Amino acid sequence: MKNTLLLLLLAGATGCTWENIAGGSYTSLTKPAWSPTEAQSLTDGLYIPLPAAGDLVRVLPSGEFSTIDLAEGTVAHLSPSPSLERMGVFLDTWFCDPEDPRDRRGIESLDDCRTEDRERERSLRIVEGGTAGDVIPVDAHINAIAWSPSERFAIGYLDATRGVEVNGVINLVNVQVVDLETGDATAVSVGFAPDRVLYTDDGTRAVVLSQNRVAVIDLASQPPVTEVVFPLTLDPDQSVTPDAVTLTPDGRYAMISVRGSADLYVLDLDAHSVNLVSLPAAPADLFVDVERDRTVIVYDNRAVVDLLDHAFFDLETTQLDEPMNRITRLDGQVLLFNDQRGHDVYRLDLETGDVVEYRLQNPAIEVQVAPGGEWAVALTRAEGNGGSGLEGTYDASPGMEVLDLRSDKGKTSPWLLEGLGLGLAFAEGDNGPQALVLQADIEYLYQLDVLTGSASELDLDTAPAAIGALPNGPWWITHPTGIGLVSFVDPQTFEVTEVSGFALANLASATPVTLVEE
Amino acid sequence: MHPTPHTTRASALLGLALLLSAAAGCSVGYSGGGRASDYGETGTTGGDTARNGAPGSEDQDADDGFGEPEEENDFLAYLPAQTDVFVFIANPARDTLTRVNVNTLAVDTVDVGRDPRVVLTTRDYSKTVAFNFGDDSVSIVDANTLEVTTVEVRDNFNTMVLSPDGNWAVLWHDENAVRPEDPVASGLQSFNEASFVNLTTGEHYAMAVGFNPREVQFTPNSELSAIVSDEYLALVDLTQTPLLPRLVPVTEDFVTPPKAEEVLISPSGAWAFVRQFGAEDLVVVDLNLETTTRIPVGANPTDMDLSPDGASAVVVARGDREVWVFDSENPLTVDPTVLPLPEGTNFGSVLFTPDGTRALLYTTAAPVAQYATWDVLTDEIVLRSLVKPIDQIGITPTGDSALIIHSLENAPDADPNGPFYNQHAITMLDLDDQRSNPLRLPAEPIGFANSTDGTEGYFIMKNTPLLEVLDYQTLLYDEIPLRSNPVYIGVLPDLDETDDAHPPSWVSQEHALGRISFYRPDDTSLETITGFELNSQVED
Repeated sequence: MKNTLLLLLLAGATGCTWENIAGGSYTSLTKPAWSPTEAQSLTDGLYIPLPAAGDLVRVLPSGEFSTIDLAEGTVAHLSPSPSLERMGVFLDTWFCDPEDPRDRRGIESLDDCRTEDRERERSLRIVEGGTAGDVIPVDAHINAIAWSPSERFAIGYLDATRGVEVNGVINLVNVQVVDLETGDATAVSVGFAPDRVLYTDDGTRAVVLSQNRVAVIDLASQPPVTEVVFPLTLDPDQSVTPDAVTLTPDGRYAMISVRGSADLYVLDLDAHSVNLVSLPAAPADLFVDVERDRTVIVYDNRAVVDLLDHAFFDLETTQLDEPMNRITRLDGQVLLFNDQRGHDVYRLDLETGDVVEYRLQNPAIEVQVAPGGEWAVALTRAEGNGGSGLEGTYDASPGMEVLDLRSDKGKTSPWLLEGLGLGLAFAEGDNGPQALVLQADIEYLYQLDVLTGSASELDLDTAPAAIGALPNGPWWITHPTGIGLVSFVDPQTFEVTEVSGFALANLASATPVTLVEE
Repeated sequence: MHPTPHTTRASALLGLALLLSAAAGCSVGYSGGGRASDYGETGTTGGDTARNGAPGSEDQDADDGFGEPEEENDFLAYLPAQTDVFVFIANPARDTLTRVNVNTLAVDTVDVGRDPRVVLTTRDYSKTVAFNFGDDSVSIVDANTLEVTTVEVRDNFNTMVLSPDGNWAVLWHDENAVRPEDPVASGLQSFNEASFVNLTTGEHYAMAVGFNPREVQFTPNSELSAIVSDEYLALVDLTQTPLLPRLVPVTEDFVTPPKAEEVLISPSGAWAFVRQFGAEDLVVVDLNLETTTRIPVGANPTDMDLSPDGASAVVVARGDREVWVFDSENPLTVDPTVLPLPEGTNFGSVLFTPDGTRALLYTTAAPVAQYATWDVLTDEIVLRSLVKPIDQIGITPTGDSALIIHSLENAPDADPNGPFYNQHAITMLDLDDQRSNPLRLPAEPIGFANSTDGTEGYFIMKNTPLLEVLDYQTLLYDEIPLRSNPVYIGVLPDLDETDDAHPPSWVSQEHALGRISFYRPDDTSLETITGFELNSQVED
């Protein structure tokens, strides 16, 4: 049994990190002890998967941590709910079913079972307040859930970006609708490779996007059923992949852009009919302006922003200097930026249609609005255009720019970063929003008072792996150490609290396996 | 049975022939349907309004060796049909019919038979009837509920008309309506048959009516139908079931009979008039006695129409340059009036204004840049000039204006340096004072429609994504950009002629998944719905 071998090696979270285990013994792990980049915030703490033990640990800013009692199964994926009150936890339970009876001897953990003899079952448990709910069996390939606004329903689907785990026959046309009140999970056929789910605001219908089709699931019926399926093409040789999708505020229309097409599919969910609105180009991002009942559309290759009204689906076009491909929401406004090229960021007033242009020194890779909506911070990348002097230096460096959203003068304040900005987290400080910036290969965090511009480096003993903020709470920083290390930073005092050792919980245990009876 | 075709709507466009129709008070330009009924259907195959004097007599004129036949129109399938609030569009490739509500733009799709091509609506707007080429059937669709009743008919038909009361659909094979893309018939094939389908009960009556049926006409009360073929006029009493034809010979030469070209029925239903290819007389059929009499009509009669009040049957004898006016209810006892046409003219077509007080005389068979106005009350005929020869003329439902579509061909004496030489052109014409506004066009006009109140006209051009809006009061035009190239055009009927609101027009356009736009002249807005053919595959 490999897991019981007392060896010197301990595989760390980001490769093979060596750590001394209390008691002087050593073990070799085939999986990382913890996943510092997969930590998820809930209101009651930071939840982190422990792959080696198959467990889930909750780490608190107070320094406490505890593993969640999941009974059996190993943690596969996490999906926090929109309210950040619940965590959907996918669990795997392994079985071993050797054909040759001689191979059945000595199987005590998954590692003892040949790969071809392994069988996996997957279940979903909802963790709330540190306690896991009932086990809800789901299809083995499902690795993501989309929560309904009320969090009564969770629709499970295969998110291919998380990898496709083939174990047995996979039904690629089904999603699984989980009623979290009753615990019932219902497989619903929607179309090939469903990969996105939206809910109407009233939560009675779910819109599921798949290749060439869009299905609407009636959640009010028992069990949930497919209400209607809309085709996106009539040509079986054509592959139409939905790209962006939004729903009108009244839930009547779903608007779907498809990759490489200037047609915007408008699906009437009530009348069960399709209309295609011709756009000037393939849209890059959509945003529904609920108050004014229209959709904001930007394009990769057209320097315009369009406002599409939901009554007649007419376009109102505003000219820009550069194409935009991302839309970030503000109160009554949106920020438009391009994370691939260009230097412009625009603030569009949705009421007046007025546009304020912000000119960045370098192209943006991310723009986030600070709490309160008066400031935004853009992380930028080096351009490498050469040049000399300060401008040349700036071009060659990653940066960060603070955008003043209070005035219409397009004011920005640029900052040079030492490393490429990887993450940005905000917290509310005494003087207003505080930003924390994570940089690539840099062992400190950059803390910025957005209002005053005062900044400091937050020295860390170990390089950070990921950052974030608990809801209404402190920043958290994970560090890629073997035994687990999280730093919580108070945004008021910048006091740092480190929590470590949580990755060792249940470390000695191996992935359990059940031998299938002959 | 027809094999399943794979013809697209776009390809059907290529066969567009020009045909004017203004059925049931709504105007649809360049529609088709071959020898359509005078009174039957709306929207698509033309309801030949020649009897009513509205624009668009669609009879074909004889070529008797004296020159080219007068070009009126030919069969044209795939044209949408309309009611007061709906436009129905056939989706032949998907065996469905799409209904678009013009007010709400709601789209519904219903399965019909295989390869539906001809779509007609009854004049009371209660039913839509689709003729399905692929399985030789007729789908009777309730326009409101979309409930479908499908009735099989005889094989290999290509033409359908509806009776004025909307109770009967008549189908037959019209040799003139055959198109290159039509499916090749297999097995036995008859050229003498017709099917009558009762649209209320779904009963089907098939019959042999004579070789090569050309046209079907009905009496205004829909009690009698007459089918003209080369040898016979088949009379079908629609009040007696089972339906049986009574054949009245219209020729004495049963070996090489002349081809029948047109048939008209007098308003009382007492008389039928048959114009034959190459003949110099008309065949007058007493429908009560079922006897025929031939009466002279001049050389090379090329057009025959009823005056709008139905009192006169008017024939243009192009060879003798005469207009013959017969009393339609007393054709054998009242001598016709013969009006000479101006010297040097070569007119072969006549088109009445809806009130019947005047008519236009012109030719489409020769490059003549002239027309004549005929004051029916005084019989004064005045010759007038145009910028180019004529391809088609449409008169607005009010009779105040006309839209003249010119041929690309120039008149022999045309100035090569003139602005219209070798150019497509139209002319807006005020029929009261003869004011005109000739317009040079960048492309060939392929369809036009006039609003029922006579204030607006619309036309579309080949491969030109524009809707051209004509103001008949000012004789000015406006251009509305479309999303793609137009295919068909029409105007919905005016639901309340006492208000100031003008009905919308519609333009179907090229798009793989279907596209139609609605233009509302009141606010000059254009609404477009695209992809409605996807609705045929929506899985409820």
